[in-house]
Amino acid sequence: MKVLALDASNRPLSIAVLEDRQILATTTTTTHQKHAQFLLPIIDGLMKDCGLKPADLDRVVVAYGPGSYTGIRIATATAKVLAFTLGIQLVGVSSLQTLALNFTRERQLISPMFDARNQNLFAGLYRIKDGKPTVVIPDQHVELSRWLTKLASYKDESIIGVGDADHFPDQLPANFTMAENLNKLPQAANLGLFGQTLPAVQDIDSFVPNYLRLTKAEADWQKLHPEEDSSSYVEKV
Amino acid sequence: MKTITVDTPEATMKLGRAIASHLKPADLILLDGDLGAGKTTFTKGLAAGLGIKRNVKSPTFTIIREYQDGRLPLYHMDAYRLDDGSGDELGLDEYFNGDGVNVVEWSKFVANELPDNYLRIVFKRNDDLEDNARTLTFDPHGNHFATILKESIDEDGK
Amino acid sequence: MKRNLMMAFESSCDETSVAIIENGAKILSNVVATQIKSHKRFGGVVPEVASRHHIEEITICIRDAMQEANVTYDDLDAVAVTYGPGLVGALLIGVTAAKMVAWAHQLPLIPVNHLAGHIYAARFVEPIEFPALALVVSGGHTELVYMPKEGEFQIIGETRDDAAGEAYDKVGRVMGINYPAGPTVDAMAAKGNDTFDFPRAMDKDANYDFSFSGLKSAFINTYHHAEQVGNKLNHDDLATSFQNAVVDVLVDKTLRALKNYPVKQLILAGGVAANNGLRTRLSAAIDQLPATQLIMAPRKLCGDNAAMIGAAGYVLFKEGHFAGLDLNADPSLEFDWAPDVIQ
Repeated sequence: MKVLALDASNRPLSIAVLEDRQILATTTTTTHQKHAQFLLPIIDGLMKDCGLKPADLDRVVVAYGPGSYTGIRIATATAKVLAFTLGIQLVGVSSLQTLALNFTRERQLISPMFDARNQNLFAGLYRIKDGKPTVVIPDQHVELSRWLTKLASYKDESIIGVGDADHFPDQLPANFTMAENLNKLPQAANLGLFGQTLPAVQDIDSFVPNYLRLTKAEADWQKLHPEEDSSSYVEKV
Repeated sequence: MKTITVDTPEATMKLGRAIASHLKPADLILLDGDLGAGKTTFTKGLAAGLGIKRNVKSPTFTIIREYQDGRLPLYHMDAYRLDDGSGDELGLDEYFNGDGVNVVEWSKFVANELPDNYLRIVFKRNDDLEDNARTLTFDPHGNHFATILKESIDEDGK
Repeated sequence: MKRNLMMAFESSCDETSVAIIENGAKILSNVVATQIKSHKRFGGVVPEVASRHHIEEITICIRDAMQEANVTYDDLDAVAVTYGPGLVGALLIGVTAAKMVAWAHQLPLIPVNHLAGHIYAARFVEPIEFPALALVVSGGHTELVYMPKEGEFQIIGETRDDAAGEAYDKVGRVMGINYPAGPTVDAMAAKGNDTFDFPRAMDKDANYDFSFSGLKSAFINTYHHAEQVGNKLNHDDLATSFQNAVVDVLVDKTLRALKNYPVKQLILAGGVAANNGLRTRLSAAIDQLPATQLIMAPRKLCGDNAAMIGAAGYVLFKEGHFAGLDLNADPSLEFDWAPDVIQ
């Protein structure tokens, strides 16, 4: 199986090309956030390095959120349209879980987090089981203080903080250790390996980024109109 | 805090011009207040003061307009309807730490993404005085903007 | 003869659209998914909501466009896409989708200016003959564009502040009319009388520029004064007075431009080109100029759609003007000004 894997959820941009369990080529950059401009040239370059054409691909694996709205939208649109137009398989993986893939020690707890400003986070809690991160507390958009309350029941275990965990050095409890160096970054090669073990998306049309947050406009509207069906706002003309 | 009442669009433009010569890269000016109270007019004066020749048009449709032909680039943004968390889409951080002067209208929509230092100007229509009467309240955050205000605009708005 | 087939994408604001166009002139399909109903809830386009809808709709639009046109990827010769101006997040969905289709099937990618697209909607009425002049009026633009020859666009006049369509939306909001206010104000204007005598800003100035901000302020002042003293103004009369002020200036400035820029065709384009008041008045005015033919974009193609992008993109396709894989959205994209504007 030939696989393209990509993560553009935040400032790091990571792309990999794999054939089954073999990583053929991978690139990770952290230098800028102009993913719309750089993503496809990097994909194209890696594919050419591997001697592959787009039509050779069998599956696309994408970190589809949470994260920066633009970042996850560019990555998701890229993967969605590519899978659709080539008629190949599509797999979406949580962008938080993607960071947890950097760790393999059995039973280790990992708390990936993205800074969502003003002491808010996108965060989840994972535990390594049979070599893979499994969900302990589902991904959510949450206040830092609330998140730490939820983690209190794991205070006797060590937790690895990854992602933007180092934005809150004085607020995280003592059982946190910070991921370092390459382990801090999403690695599309790990994403591509993990994505091969998951079932493909059934309905590509309805595949959208995992924002984990309504837009403010939508949230305000739903508060005022709790009974309204919001599924049919786009019309074909 | 300084409050100035003007009675013509030209007077509003003059205030923009007066401030322009004191601005440096990455400065941020917030323009808030009533619809049609002179926010874009003020920006036109500011642009002229920066030596920008192009028309400063309403940024409503594209949210951001860039003007590169002056002493400093001018980035003019209309944040109306921007969602919390959309700042990265516009690259707000890059603008706020960038090479030009940033003017943001309807700043409450990006309140969470603002840096500590800025000059906020609130525009109010005074229709009870006369049609074109406007009150501009200048509220500097940080020393840099307090100094600018002191040096560029005296008490009677000249 | 080989038929050149192009897939075109448009997503600059609140419409997701994919079209299949033959030889830049024939619409095989033009699928438009509009989000108006969604943004109506908020009184205007919310950029983040628009971006979210675009990614929901994009593959559905591609599939429908190909099915309606009865084509496969092997039939396609190129992919065209709007890359600006517009909302950056909205543009990015169309740009990303177009890039992926082009890359996956090894097709040339053609970057199209949204305003060139609006102008080329006229191509579906008749072939454009040069030199031509276009009046582009929409929610974000009010421009007079001179086209000395195919593929060349020069601004000779533009709004100094608000776009005409934006002024419609803003006075509409004051009168309590929901977004988009243009069609409603147009319908009201047909019923009222011009009793308020709003200013025709810059009408007599020796240039081709427009200004609608003063008109907007005059309208709001009139409205608020009446409210303060408990006066109820006739909304139809307000609409007529407002629309006449807008149309007067648009028509006068266009006629002034035609005097100094004798052209074979005048093209009326953009969302506000669907306005009945403007169409009627401009038609009557052009009747006085037998050497100039007026082409009005079909009402159906005045709003944003991908067919017009395909028509404009075909010109670039013939010139071999292709984009690289690093194509990005350019929300502030503009035509250049004419090197010397003849006043």
